[in-house]
Amino acid sequence: MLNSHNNFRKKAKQRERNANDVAKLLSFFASCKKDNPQFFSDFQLDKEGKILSIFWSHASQQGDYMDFGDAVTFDTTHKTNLYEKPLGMFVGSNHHLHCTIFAFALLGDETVDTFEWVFNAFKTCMGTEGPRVMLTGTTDNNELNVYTSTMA
Amino acid sequence: MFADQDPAMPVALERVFPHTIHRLCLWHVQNRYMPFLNELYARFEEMDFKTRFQSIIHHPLTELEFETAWSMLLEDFDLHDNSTLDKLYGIRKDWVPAFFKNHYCGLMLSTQRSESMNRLVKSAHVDANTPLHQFAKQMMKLLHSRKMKESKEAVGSMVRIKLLCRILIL
Repeated sequence: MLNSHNNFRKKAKQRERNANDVAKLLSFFASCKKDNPQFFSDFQLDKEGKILSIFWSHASQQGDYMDFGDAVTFDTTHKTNLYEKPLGMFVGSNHHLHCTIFAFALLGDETVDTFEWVFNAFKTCMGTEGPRVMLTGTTDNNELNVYTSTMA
Repeated sequence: MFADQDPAMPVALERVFPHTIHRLCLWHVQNRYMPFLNELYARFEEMDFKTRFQSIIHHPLTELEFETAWSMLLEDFDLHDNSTLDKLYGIRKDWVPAFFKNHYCGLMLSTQRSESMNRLVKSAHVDANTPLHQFAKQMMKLLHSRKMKESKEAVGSMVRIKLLCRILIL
């Protein structure tokens, strides 16, 4: 009896936590922007105005990119949020050789269009031509051939 | 599909950052051919193919050095028509360290920093049930803890500098 009651309370709490998620996210971003106008966020929307991808970077992260942004690794990981959006992080290393995150992106999918949107958001945010070297884990062979032939 | 093998990324990267050098993760490239490489390792176990192969990838400092070492390897083991090695050689400019000696890569060879960050994120109380607003807040907390770590390191090196100064003055 007590158990089911606890379960019920837990579920109710979870529902409350998950309700109006986007509105809460936007108000969090607004408060970040108020704290420091340098805070950058951008949303990729589909035709119906639904959010596909989210990109954000705090002021300190942008400062870190200015200092340590020559070499950047980019990779995606899963299972970090309710909506099964893969998380992509722009990561580099600082002067103590610690890992440093330059920007976060929650992606709607992993297509060329979405990656293009993310990289463009990164470019707009940092206001530069992009890092000198970018390290990724991509190893798909067919695509590599396409990639190298377009390079030639 | 694993994100690491996502073919869309390099295409987008090339479009948005045409001047950025795109380097492939050393580990991912080898991992993709692991079954074939393991077969080679096993076939030439007595001749220590593995050690030779790994040192050719890691140690050469110039492109020429790598090319010479590679052709010697093919010669010594008679592997001229091996398709795996051909493929690895074909994309050598995208992943072999010798080809990046001219460029600053932040001491990175692989996406290891990304991987360790991924692990750190997941240990920061986010999982497959985390709503967006909470995720963003947790990430800010994570950034704070990273900054604290950086400051600690900075203070540590300041102390060392002060000590050094004192020794030098005395």
